[in-house]
Parts: sequence; structure tokens; C-alpha cells
Amino acid sequence: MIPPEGATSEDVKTVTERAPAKERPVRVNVQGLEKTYRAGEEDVRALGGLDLTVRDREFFCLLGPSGCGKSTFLRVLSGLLEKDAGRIAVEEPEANRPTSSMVFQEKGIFPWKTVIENVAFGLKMRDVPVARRREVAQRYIEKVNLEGFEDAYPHQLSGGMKQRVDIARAFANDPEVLLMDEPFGDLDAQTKRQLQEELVTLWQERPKTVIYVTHDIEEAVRLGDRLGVMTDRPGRIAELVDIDLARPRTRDNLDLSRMEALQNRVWSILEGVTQSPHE
Amino acid sequence: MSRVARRTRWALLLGPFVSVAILWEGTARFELIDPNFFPPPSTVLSLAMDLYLHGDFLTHLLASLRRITFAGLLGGTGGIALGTLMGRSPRVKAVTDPHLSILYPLPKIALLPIMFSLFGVTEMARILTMALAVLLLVSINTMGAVQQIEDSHIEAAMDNGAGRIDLYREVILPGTLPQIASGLSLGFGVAVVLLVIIEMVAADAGLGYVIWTSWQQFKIPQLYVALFTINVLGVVFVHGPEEIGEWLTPWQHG
Ligand SMILES: Nc1ncnc2c1ncn2[C@@H]1O[C@H](COP(=O)(O)OP(=O)(O)OP(=O)(O)O)[C@@H](O)[C@H]1O
Ligand SMILES: [Mg+2]
Repeated sequence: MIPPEGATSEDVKTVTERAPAKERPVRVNVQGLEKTYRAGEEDVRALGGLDLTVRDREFFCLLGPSGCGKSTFLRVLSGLLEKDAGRIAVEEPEANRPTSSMVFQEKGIFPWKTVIENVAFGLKMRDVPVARRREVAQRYIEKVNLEGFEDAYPHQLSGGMKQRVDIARAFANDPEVLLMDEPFGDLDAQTKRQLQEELVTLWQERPKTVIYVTHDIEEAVRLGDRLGVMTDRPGRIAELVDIDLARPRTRDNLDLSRMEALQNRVWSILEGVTQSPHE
Repeated sequence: MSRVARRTRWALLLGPFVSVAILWEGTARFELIDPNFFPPPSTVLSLAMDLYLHGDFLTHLLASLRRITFAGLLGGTGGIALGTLMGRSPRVKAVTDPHLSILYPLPKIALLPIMFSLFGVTEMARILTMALAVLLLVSINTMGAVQQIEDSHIEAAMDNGAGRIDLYREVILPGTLPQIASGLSLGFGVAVVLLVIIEMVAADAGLGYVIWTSWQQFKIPQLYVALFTINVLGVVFVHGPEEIGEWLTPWQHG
């Protein structure tokens, strides 16, 4: 077991005794979110009144047709983009922890920094002392199984290993909310499955509120506590689905027929929101 | 590139000097070429020793070194700053780009009289003429590199809490270092040419000055000493930035 971190809000003990989702406090509350890109002549309305509530330590998956505004939503949530209208309330963390950290689909880590420098980057930006940030970074490098690669540069790593670095950096930041934008979208099926398992293990050890964007219905159902399907652009939440599959969702523990039923349900919701059939 | 490979490359760089020296020495000794115009390298070498130790060659070398160093420093820092600004701000680029496009194809040596009328016949005018050439090449290279920085790297830095200065130090500078180095290398290439021409026509010290006066006074061996020195200077200033750039960017290789 890992010693609990001083800076961590999470008490390791509470992991096992997860309160029912509906009773946990709200961490992210979004109301009527609007975002329009002004690109030259044409305006692109990416988000059209999006409402969403995500609770503490909930693993929330977001699905939707391509171009419906999923990445836009994460960028607005993270503060990288300004919203046009609406309300975003994210629980403010206590001292020296960020509100959110993003894991990118690709090219999220810096080619000119070693693995450990990449993982420690957020801590460095928050002026955590060198010794402390190396220690924290090292711990998360081990957690994502990259021991021995601390001083490697990203170009020496495979795609899956690079995503592990990005994930380690996000967890090392210890944010209130973890935002993930198709983090495994570019990986082959086998690597993807392996990283999914590692992610869930890490998340159960260091529980966080997660908003996870994906195109992959199976992935959403396998990972999430709950999922939301977005409408076509301008995006809003079309429908929410509870994923009532017991954890751990290992092969022998997984209710495959229930999983298939859920996937079918999501599939038909997605078909409903995708208006233009030629897309 | 590994350390061994780099060392081999530097060693191989001596190849042209050695092979030309052997061929030349032989043909000059046997008077296959006119030793009045092509004195054998052994003669040139012993003369070089003499000129550097007892003559005024060191003064000329230092004069040239000083000019190219100051020009490189001025043009280099100015070029990095201007290129970064242009790469980050479309508005700055819109204003400066036309100026650069017009200045770029103009042979900078043609500006020397203008520089003299602005600053008098001074070192300042000579150095600024060379610095302008370095500035143009470095700023154009830097601008391109800054524009090529991945948006996702900027976003990742900001998401991790990077401020404005962090963004430059942690993302933009390392991301553009390789192109800055090659810009400097190109800039020095042009600056060496300018240096020699300026010293030939409008200076009373420096290696270019020595080359021209030696020719006029028909001191051919002395001409070769200056020529060889300029060659070494050129190699160091043109390949130096690339080597330093590689050393500073270990993530690009290995
Ligand atoms: N910087 C931008 N300027 C103008 N339009 C943009 C910009 N970024 C995104 N858009 C447009 O906004 C819409 C939503 O984009 P977004 O990237 O959020 O979609 P997405 O749901 O993440 O798509 P995907 O599933 O393909 O990743 C798209 O139509 C896109 O073309
Ligand atoms: Mg997207």
C-alpha cells in the first residue's frame, strides 16, 4: 500500500467504503454552458446550453458524435477556453492543489523533458520544492509501471508509455477533477485495454472525480460509473446512463450480458442524436 | 548523435585541409604549380608562426573576431527576440513581415555606405551591417519554429499552471532551440562573407584587410596565412552554433 500523501485530500481508507453515488457531494456543476467559436466570417456554436452535474469521485464518461463539442467542453471546464455564457462551479481544492488537470489524446507531454521532468512539471509550476516533487513524480512513475524510464525522453517511448507519462503527471498534480480527452484514442486495442485497467487501479487508489471523453462505447461502459451522451453540435447532454456494473470489473466478475445491454442502449441513443445519416 | 560519432565528424573535418596540403606541397615542391602564386604549405605554415608570434597578425585576427562576435551577439539576441514576437503575435508579424521580405533579398553589403552615413566610418557601422544579416536569418528561422510549436504543448503547459514566463522558458525556448541554432549558423555564414568584404573595402585592420593588401603588395604567402585563418574562423562560427545546439538538445537524438 502507498503511504497517504500529506498534500492529498483523499484518505486511502475511504476507497473501499464508497458511499452510494447519489449521496456524495457535487464536485462539478455546469449550467447552461455556451461556447461559440468565432472563426473569421462563420461562427461555430460548439456548446449550446450544456447542463451537467458530476459528484465526488465519480468516473463520468462523455460520448457524442464527432465535432459535437466534447473537447470544447473539457477546455472550457479546465479554463483553457473562456465560456460565453452559463455557470461552472467546480469545488475549490484546499491549498496548493489544482482544480483540474487534463490528460491529452496525444502530444500532451513535452519532447524536451525527460519522463520524470514531465511528471513533475505541474508540481514545478506550483513551486513545490525539488526534492519533494522528485519524490512524488517517482512514486507516480512507479504506479504507471515506468520504473527505469525516469530519464528517458518521450521519443524513446511507445505511444502507450507516453500516455502513461501524461496520466502520471495528472495524478501527481493531485487535482480535484481529472479531465481526460480520449487519452487512449490512438492506441491499439491491447495496449488500450491494459492502460484502462491501470487507470482504474490508480483511480481506485487515489480516487478522483473524472470526466472522461471517448468515442468508444465499450470503453465508456467498462470504465464509467455513469455516462452522458451529447447531442450533435451545438452540444448538450442528450441522455445520462447509470452504469450499474459491479467493480472490480475483471473478466470473471463482469456481468457480460448487462454490459452488452448497456452498450446497446448507448448505441441507440447515439444513433438518435446523430441526425445526418451520411456522417 | 553520440559523442564518438561527433568526434569522428570533427576529425573528418580536418580531411580537406590535410588532403589539400599534401597535394599542394607535392606539386609546389616539384614546381608543377608556380610557387610564386602557390607557395607550399610548409612555407605558409612557418610564415604563419612568424606572423602570429612576431608580426601584427594577432591584432588583425582579434579585430575580425571582435567584429563577428559582436555582430553575432547583437543579431542573434535581436533575431531571437524579434522572431519569437513575430511567431507569437500575428499583429507584430503583419507589420514586420513586409519589412523583412524586402530587406531579406537585399545584399547587406550595399547598406554599408548608408550605415557609414548614419554612424560615421566606425566599428559600430561595420558591426551593425553584419548584425543585420544575422538578425534576418535568425528571426525568420525562430519565427517559423515558434509557429510550429504544437498547440497541445502550450495547452498542457497552461493546464499545469504555467505563467507567461514559464511558457517561454519551459515550452517555446526549448521547442525552438534547434531552429535557432541553425538560424545562427546560416547567419554567421553570411556574416563571415560580409566581414571579409567590409574589411577589404572599408577597414584598416582585420583578416579581409590583410588578404587584400597582401594581394596588392604581392605578398602571396601572407595572403594564404590570412585565408587559412578566415577559413578556420568560418568553420568555427558556422558549425559551432550547430554543435552547441545539438549539445543543448539531447532529446533530439540518442
Ligand atoms: N479553435 C477553433 N476554432 C473554430 N472552430 C473550432 C475550434 N475548435 C473546435 N472548433 C469547432 O467546434 C466544434 C466542436 O469541436 P470539438 O473539438 O469540441 O469537438 P469534439 O466533440 O471534441 O470532436 P471529436 O470527437 O472529433 O474530438 C467542431 O465543429 C469544431 O470544428
Ligand atoms: Mg475532441
